[in-house]
Amino acid sequence: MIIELKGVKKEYSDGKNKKITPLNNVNFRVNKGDFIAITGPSGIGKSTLLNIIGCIDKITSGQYFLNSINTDDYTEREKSHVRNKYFGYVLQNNGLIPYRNVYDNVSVPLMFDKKIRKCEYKEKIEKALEDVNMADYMHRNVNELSGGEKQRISIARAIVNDPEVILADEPTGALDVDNKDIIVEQLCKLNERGKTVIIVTHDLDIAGRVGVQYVFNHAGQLLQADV
Amino acid sequence: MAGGILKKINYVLKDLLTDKRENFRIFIFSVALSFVGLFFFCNMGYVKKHIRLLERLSNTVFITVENEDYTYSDIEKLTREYGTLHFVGHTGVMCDENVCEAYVYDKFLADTISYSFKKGKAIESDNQVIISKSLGKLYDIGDTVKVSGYDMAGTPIEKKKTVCGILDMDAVYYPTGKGNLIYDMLIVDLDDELYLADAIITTDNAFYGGDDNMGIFTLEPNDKYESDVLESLFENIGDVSDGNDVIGVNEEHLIYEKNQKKVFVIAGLIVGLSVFLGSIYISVIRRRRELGVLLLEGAGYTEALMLIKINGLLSAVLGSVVGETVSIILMKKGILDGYISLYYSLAVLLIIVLLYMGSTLIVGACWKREHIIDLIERDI
Ligand SMILES: Nc1ncnc2c1ncn2[C@@H]1O[C@H](COP(=O)(O)OP(=O)(O)OP(=O)(O)O)[C@@H](O)[C@H]1O
Ligand SMILES: [Mg+2]
Repeated sequence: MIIELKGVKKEYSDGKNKKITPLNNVNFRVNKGDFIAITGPSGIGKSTLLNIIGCIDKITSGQYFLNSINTDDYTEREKSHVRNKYFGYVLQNNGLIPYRNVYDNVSVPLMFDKKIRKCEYKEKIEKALEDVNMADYMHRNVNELSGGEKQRISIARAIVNDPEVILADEPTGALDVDNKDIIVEQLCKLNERGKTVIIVTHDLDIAGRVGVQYVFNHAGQLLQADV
Repeated sequence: MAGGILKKINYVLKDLLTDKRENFRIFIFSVALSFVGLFFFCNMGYVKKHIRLLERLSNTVFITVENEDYTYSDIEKLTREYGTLHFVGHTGVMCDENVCEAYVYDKFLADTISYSFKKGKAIESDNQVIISKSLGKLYDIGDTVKVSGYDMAGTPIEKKKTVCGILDMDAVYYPTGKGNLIYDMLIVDLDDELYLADAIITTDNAFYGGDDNMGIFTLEPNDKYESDVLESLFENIGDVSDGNDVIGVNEEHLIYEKNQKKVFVIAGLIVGLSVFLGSIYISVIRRRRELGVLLLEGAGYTEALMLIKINGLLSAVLGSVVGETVSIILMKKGILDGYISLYYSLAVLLIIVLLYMGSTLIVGACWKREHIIDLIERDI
């Protein structure tokens, strides 16, 4: 999966005629197996970029290619398919459904993957939970878990149907140091196994452990940081 | 494709059990709303009264009135439903030398009908009877007829009576599956009052109206009652009411009067409706995050919306079925008033479904414009 943004601009009009341009002429390429960290001040456009990559947001102008296909050509349905098939999302506040158990939460992406049959659920979910060291939690209620545990379940959900790219927006933002390390370790592990990982973080320590770092400047442009 | 649907059904059903509280709330309020709703429909502002139909023919209704609670307008309601009303049993009659006057219900109208004598004269003692023109072909003045039936109090009577007069009125004939039957009238003396009453002559056992048919008198054939005369009689009258089939015997029928309880039912309906809508609202609102997650993980918007609300819908439908069943059982047992109709039941079910769909669609439409991540991470 090659992700390529060419001259991408994202504009919001905020109420009156004022325009906010978090992304302005962003050129960005992510190759298969890259581990990328994006940092920058708050409100600069990190989440916006990640959402665009994950086909959750639309761009205002420019071009976004996924494996050389212009995402402009995708219908809503195809975008849903791309979200399911190619991306795994890890959100800041885990994004789990609190009233469903771990098994059901992790199974959600499988439900929309037409190739996966119901009888394969158990095996796949078990495997994903093992990857995040949460195998014993399969039938626990999500709202009984700690923040760190929830975040690991959230990673399990992101990888359960084996997507190529993991998108993580502040995955450690709500966690303490120990849990933060566990999550980063797991993301590194995923990257070692060949997954592309793009992480947005405020934490320069985390960013330092990652292959390539990108920083936003105030002109809405993405610059590769000198490591 | 089929597998995909199975997976989704599984997802929805699981939630029906795991998310018991919300679904149970919707279920309970749906039970209550359907119960009150169906009760409302089945009464539509009316309470019921029973009237027993003795015989219902395709062109004519013969009814007998069990007690005197019924007003003319009650009877009229019945005739409006069934078309022509032929006769109400045990109608009081006044006779003088030339004419007998009976108060009858005929063709929508309660009316006094005069029958003049064709032969003979009025009843002078209680062992006499006046018969109709058609019966006059079988019996003559001075003949003895055996009359069996029930008096006003419902006690069976069986008396030999002498024919004293023959009136100028016709009988109604119709064939039944069991034989031929003539509905006729005669005037008898019951408890020192004269009554115009239905009378029947049958071949075989064509009349099968049961054993407590007030207002019906059976005449036993006498010696002169030759079979060929009877045959010709049946043929004669037969033309009059051709194709008049029996479509009901001894039917319990309901008529309606204005229901004073209407206000309470409507109040109950409004309360039920608002709590039902409230519970739907809560159940959908709290699924905002789930909707976002489903969208994020690859569902289309409509699909995701269906997934988060279909178990609520199932609960609502289930509740509606239970509520309606309870309502119907109570009505059938007579504990509650109401006219039971399949259409009402379906209407209530449909309304519940539409209310559910409508209210969730409104919320769903509001959320469509929101960002997926906002749906997940930002509560309202
Ligand atoms: N839906 C929206 N409508 C209008 N403006 C928006 C919208 N989403 C984001 N913005 C604006 O775009 C800019 C970039 O937002 P973004 O969420 O990408 O920042 P961020 O870099 O992720 O910040 P943080 O580190 O605080 O998460 C902000 O100024 C924000 O106010
Ligand atoms: Mg952000």
